Amino acid sequence: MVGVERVLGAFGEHLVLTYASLFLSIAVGIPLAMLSLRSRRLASLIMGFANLVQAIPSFAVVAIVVPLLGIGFTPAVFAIFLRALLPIVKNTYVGLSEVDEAMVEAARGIGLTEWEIIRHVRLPHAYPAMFAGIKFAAVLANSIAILTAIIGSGGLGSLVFEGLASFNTDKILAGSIPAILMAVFIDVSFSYLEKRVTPEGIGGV
Amino acid sequence: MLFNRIDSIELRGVTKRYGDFVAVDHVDLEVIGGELLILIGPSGSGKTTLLRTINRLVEPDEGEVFINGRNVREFDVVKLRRSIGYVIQQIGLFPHMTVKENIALLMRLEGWDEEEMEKRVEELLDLVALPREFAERYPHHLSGGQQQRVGLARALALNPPLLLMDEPFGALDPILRRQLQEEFARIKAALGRTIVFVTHDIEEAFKLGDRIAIMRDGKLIQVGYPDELVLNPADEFVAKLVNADKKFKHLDTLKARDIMIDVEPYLVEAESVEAVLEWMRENDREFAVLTKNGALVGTVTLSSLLKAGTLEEAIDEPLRLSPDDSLASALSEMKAKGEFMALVVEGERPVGVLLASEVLLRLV
Repeated sequence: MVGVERVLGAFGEHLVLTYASLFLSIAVGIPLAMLSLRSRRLASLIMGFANLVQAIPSFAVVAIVVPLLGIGFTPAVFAIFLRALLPIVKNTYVGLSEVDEAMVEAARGIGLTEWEIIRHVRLPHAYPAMFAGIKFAAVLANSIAILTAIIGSGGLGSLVFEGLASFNTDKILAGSIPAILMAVFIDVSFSYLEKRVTPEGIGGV
Repeated sequence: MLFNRIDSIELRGVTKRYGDFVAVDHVDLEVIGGELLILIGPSGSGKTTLLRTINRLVEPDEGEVFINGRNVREFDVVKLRRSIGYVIQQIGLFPHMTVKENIALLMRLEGWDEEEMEKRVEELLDLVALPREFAERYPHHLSGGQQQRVGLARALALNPPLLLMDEPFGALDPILRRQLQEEFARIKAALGRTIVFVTHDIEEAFKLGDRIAIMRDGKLIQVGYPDELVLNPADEFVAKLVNADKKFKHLDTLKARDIMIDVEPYLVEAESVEAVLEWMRENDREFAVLTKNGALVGTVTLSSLLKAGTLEEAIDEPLRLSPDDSLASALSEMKAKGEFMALVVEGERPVGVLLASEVLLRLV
């Protein structure tokens, strides 16, 4: 048996790890997507980098931060952040840039600044795509947060790895079942948030 | 506001090229403060491009635009656009904002307080003849004509002294277009603004314009008052556009049935206000011809229905013509009664709608 306190503690660590990295990705990803609207060259640069990181296997990303940042919580956050960035940047950029040009032109014509167009016209229309990206990033962050136990991040991953090393099924399950539950919770909670913030009159809601 | 009133707008040698294509070709044009100037021409004639050089949505390759003697390039572009109302044909409204949010957007960005905005929005809804309870609705719950009214209200939000209108009634069915033109002609005087109005519809030009500027292939062909265009067309193209000569010759031989439009899309049999409103919403109309067992009862408009308590109160008795009435006498009667529309009936059965031709009204 695995102690309830041990599981709760690991779950807490896992939660902090996942959400800290996710929010970092959102905080960096959305402004990057907005910045990408400025010029096509900047957009391809940012997308190119994000795609490159995406192409590297998750395990390799986790490994590669060790020589750069060492082990522990912070390097783990950084590794997850890198992986979660692409779906957010890409989807937000697609959502922002695929707004009907005629509507953007109308906004410009009545005297909105470029920033006001992003804030009041592009962003509300980008919500569905943006949330799809964030949801995917969250699920990704949740699963990589298991992997990062190998570089000392703590969390549910340590239970899973310990369980695997000692053929202890209880430990494996104690680590993986909460992680599965959390994946479900993430999906449901972001879907709810999306419904709340997406204004009426935007397609597909 | 960069300016409180418009004394003049002057376009000098304005030219805009897209690659090898010359969209606007050395146009000199003056808009007199307080007038409604029509820019008319076939599609691709450069009228919209020319209009958009005024609020700098298009920057000319050559030439300059002056408002009250000041080059528009001297102004901050956002301030300039907020000083100029802008109404366009489609998708002008933001679908994710309610009618009120659409109208109040610029006020919000200008930092008005909630109470002022509320008051101004109600004022504007009254002005464009929309019920105040529409404020909370989303654009997709409105008919095309209602959306266009919201577009006008939004353009007027900050009380700009200049309005640019780009085919604002272009996407509407012919009767609704005439209804809105009538309405707009009425509020135009109350607005007391300088307006530059793009259209390709010569009827609209004659109905609304103080002066009319005719464009073709990026060039300005002729500017003048409607009578001048009819009596002294600069060339064959202008004569054809106003088409007065040909129609005038046939005015006596043409009959109401020859130029009436089909009444079928407007016919409805209904017993209650709600039923007619429902039909209008489904069919995106603001006008209906009520019948009972095929016989004409009367006509109703969306605005009269929204005001009236019962269907009887909302019904108008239209001017009735017979299909064989001559066009000349029909138009004279319409002009005398101040009607822009008459119903053509055969016995008691409505068969068509005759819209008064603005060009011909000047001739009968």
